[in-house]
Amino acid sequence: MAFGQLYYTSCRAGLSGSPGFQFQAASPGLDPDVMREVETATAYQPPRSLTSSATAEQIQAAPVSFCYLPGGHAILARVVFIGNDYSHRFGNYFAHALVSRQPEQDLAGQLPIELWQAPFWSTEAAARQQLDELPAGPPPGTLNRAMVAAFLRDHPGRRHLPTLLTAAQDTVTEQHRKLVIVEEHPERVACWIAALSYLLPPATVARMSFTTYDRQPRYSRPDVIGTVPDGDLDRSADAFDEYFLFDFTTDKVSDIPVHPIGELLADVDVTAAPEMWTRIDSLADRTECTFTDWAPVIVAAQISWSSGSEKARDMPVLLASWLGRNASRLGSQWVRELVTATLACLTDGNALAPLTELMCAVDAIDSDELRGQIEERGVSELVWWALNSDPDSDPIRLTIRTEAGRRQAAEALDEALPRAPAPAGLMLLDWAHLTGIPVSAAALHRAGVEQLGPVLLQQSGQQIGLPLLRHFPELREGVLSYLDSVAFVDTGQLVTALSAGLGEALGIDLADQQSAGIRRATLVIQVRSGQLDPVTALTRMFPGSAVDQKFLELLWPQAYWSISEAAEILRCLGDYSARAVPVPSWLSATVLADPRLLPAEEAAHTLLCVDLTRYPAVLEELSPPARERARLLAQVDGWINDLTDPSPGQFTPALNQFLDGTSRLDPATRRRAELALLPLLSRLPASREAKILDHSPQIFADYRKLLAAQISGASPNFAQAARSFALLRLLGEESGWRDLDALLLKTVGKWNQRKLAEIDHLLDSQGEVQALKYFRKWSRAIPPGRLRRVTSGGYKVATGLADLSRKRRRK
Amino acid sequence: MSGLTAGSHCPYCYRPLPVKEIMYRCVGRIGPTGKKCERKIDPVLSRQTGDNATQFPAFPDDGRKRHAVCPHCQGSTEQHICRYCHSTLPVHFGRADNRQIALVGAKESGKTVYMTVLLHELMHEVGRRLKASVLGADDHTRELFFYDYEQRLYERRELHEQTRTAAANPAGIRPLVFSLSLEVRRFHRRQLRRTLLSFFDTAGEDLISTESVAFNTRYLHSADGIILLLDPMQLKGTPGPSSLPTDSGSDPMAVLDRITALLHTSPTAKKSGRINKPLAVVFSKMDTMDEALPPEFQVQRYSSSETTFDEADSLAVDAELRELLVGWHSSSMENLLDTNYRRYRFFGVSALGESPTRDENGSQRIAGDLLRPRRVHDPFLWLLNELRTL
Repeated sequence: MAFGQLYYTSCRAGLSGSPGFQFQAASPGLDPDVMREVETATAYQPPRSLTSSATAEQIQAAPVSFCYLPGGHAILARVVFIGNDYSHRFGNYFAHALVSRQPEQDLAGQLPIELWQAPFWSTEAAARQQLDELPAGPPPGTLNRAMVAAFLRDHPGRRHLPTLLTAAQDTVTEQHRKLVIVEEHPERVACWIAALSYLLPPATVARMSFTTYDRQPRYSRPDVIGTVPDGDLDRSADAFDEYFLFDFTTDKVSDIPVHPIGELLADVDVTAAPEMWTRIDSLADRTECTFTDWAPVIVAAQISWSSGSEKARDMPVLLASWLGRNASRLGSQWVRELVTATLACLTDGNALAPLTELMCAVDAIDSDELRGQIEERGVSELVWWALNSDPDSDPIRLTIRTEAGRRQAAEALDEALPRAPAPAGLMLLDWAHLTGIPVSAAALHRAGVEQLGPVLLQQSGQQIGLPLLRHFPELREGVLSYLDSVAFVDTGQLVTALSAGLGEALGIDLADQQSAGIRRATLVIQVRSGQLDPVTALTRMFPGSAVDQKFLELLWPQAYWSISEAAEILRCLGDYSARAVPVPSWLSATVLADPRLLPAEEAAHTLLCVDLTRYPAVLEELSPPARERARLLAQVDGWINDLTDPSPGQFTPALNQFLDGTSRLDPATRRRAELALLPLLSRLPASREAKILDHSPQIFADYRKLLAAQISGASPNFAQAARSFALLRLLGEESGWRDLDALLLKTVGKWNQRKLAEIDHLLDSQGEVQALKYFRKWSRAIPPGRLRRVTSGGYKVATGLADLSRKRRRK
Repeated sequence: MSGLTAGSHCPYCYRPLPVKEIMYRCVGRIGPTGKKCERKIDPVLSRQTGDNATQFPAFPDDGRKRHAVCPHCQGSTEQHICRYCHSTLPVHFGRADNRQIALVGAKESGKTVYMTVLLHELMHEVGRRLKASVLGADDHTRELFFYDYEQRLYERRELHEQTRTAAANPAGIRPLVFSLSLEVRRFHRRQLRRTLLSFFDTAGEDLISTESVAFNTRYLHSADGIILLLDPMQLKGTPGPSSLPTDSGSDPMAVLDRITALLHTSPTAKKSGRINKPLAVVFSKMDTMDEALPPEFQVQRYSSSETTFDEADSLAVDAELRELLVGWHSSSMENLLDTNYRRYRFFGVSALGESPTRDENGSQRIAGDLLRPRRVHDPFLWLLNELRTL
């Protein structure tokens, strides 16, 4: 093993056989491709300030390009400017290059940059064109760790070292940007490159190509390029984006985010770096490439190392995660050291997840002592976490295996549960459930009352803590206690929560002896689901004090009882109704409701009032207007009953009583009385009905309205139509005959023969002979329709005949 | 301005580049979506040209369009790049005539000095006469030509360094590209005709070293016209202090032989036919021959300042040089040219006007205060004339 050597310059005689730039001499057996690589790698341009009028001293002071290009044939070269060539043309340089197939072995432990200014570098052409190989392990140059440490200590740009390390690592691994260092002298660039070589991962250093000087960094191949201020680099703002530019002459560097590992490495003294990398070497798995890959390994190497960076102690979380995955290959000594160091560096509030990872690491070496330490720390962290965590924390995954740890955990839970916010408390309980840590009944009950109960009530529909309810009966009891306590205050919310699955989760059944609050909530749910009607639900709560306004509103969201519902409730509860405060109030509202103007309902309303008068306790609890109206309508009902008395001679006094009595009522009650009478009219003989209609224009108007509704439409009430003709015959012309006739002409008068025949048949079957005759006359006098008008000689003739016929008939 | 050219060669890598296949490079403005592209080293550009500055992303689209939308940031860009080498193309590429003029020659025949003086003359004296303007077409050309070529020769009065081989050139293989704008009359109307000129300052050694032959083959194949520079002192039989070639790289006949062979390998060359590209065979450093030439020879005079291209004068110089070749025992060159080239002509030029001197350090410097270039633009104008660019 040895280095091949090459000299390249512009000379009269060299390996090309003609004058010009060429290899002046070389070791035998070098590949032409390698020689071309060397020719390219050693290309040199002096700074522009160096002109052909430069003195020998200026030429000697020209920047030296010391470059290293790794690869299949690693090239290490030193290029110096020498001014004129053999033909007196300015611009000649001399390159002495070494080529190695196995640079690590040939360098014998030295870094390429350590050969800077080594004594073997030549600047003069050889006497012979064949050079000897340079033996492996060449003598070192002037750079060493102590010198670089001193350089860094004194250099004002030292604070940029973390950024420089970050940039160099990125350049080598990602190849997105070149790293350019601007210094007044290439030797200072060499010191920076040496610092990088000492501190960066050895694998990165082995791949890192560099040159201490190139006039045109833009066209330079190496990863790290040194240049001088009067080079071709335009150091405007753009250049700081185009390259990782570190201009130490102006103390300006590219603005890039510094990787934390750059900080860690920069904190290490280069003289101590070998020890650090020895530690790292025993920890790494050899797959690390980027700083992110290296991060946990470097933290591991530094966290328990006396010369390590203090900042490593700020990264225990990163280390714990890596340790959990890599403990099995590290050996017990490293794991013990690192677990202990990590435990010491973990801070409260951020340790639960790392502790879980550390537990995995300890499992790999099966150490009860370390396990106990982690559990002890885990329990105290648990308490801290429970009292301070945010609600979106990850689930706790810490496992407690030792008896001592379980005891501590149980005590900690009992202490922390009552003080923890609801989400944290639930997560603690969840963790206790999963890990089997016992929790006292009192703590569980309290957690149910204070933590889970409110959460379940507020967040209905979410399956929070439901498995816990099944596992911890005391917790369920606590939740039920809480729900019961709020059942009367927040019945609606309770109903919503129970409907959304909470009832099922809690195992609530109506058959159970539930508390009144939960029971009435379940009744509401059953009503809403259609399993129960509200009246039944109401009656099931009697006797009891749970019937309040809120309960009634939940059962009847429209906050109103219909007449039939009120009558049904009254029928079911009787005088019990008076015991629940809101019930008489709701009955009063129904009694005082505006008239519906539907005769059937008004009749039912009257009957309700009559019923109310039968329950004195209830009647007394009604509001005064309702009570008054109930009594009046009960009296009206009596008058109406008298009208239906079939005894001869009773009708006229009864009619007068009704008319006199109702005339003294207030208008609203009178209307109710008149409307209540209306459905009864059809049950009276036609002669009595005609009399009533004759004496009460309002009732007659209501009758016509009712009749119009009954005989209009596709399915008319033929019986009412037939009866109307009996009435029409009996009514006096002054009392409204004309109005009824007009109504019948508009309705029955438009009927076809089949429908008219139906009336005819009904009157005939009822034996209403006079009414039948009257109907037949009336129907013949109906004005003809359009078809009849056409077929019987025109409209005027037809209408004239009809009018004549009607006049004759009246006479 | 001429319309879109159907096909052309990239002036940087000399590969055929149909306009449709031109790619685009994002310019890094914040796009309508609020995104901004990141700069990274473009591996293609780095590999092909050695340029390692970070660039915004390159992306393909229809190269005939003026604008394209970056697929990453949705921003609009007008920056066209070559699909092969990712070099930013000159603004007028695809919309202007694209002429590649190859400048080749033997070692130490004065190619760099000739190119510098020719371009300087085109930018100043000759340009004014032709009503032409010559500008660097890209930042690299503008900076490099000004600092490394023109300033060095005209201000510092230093000769250029020996041209590096492609392998030893730190800036890689990167031609100088200029935009020539000529005012021409067509149908009694004045029009501006733009032509892109690409010069590659090749080292004499590059024509013999195998590693650079591929690039030089592309260079010659894509060239529309060739200037072959020969040092007459390297011909056998020339009077005065001869500098006979010591290797094939500086032997004029060997260089001509090699170039002819390369041109015959062109895909467009006809089998057993003659090469159609116009070839200007230029004898440089003619000032060194002044004393040995008859005084009536026109090659010793400055070219006419009245006309754009004096055909009669050019033919007279051509005849004189053919006569001289016989005397220099180099008539075989004429035979070789006759049998291989349809269009060629001899020119005699002197870029500096007189031989350089040495300063106290022994370095070569320009003699006197002024350069007195003689007939340097004649070959170029003849080529443009042959290419119907004038």
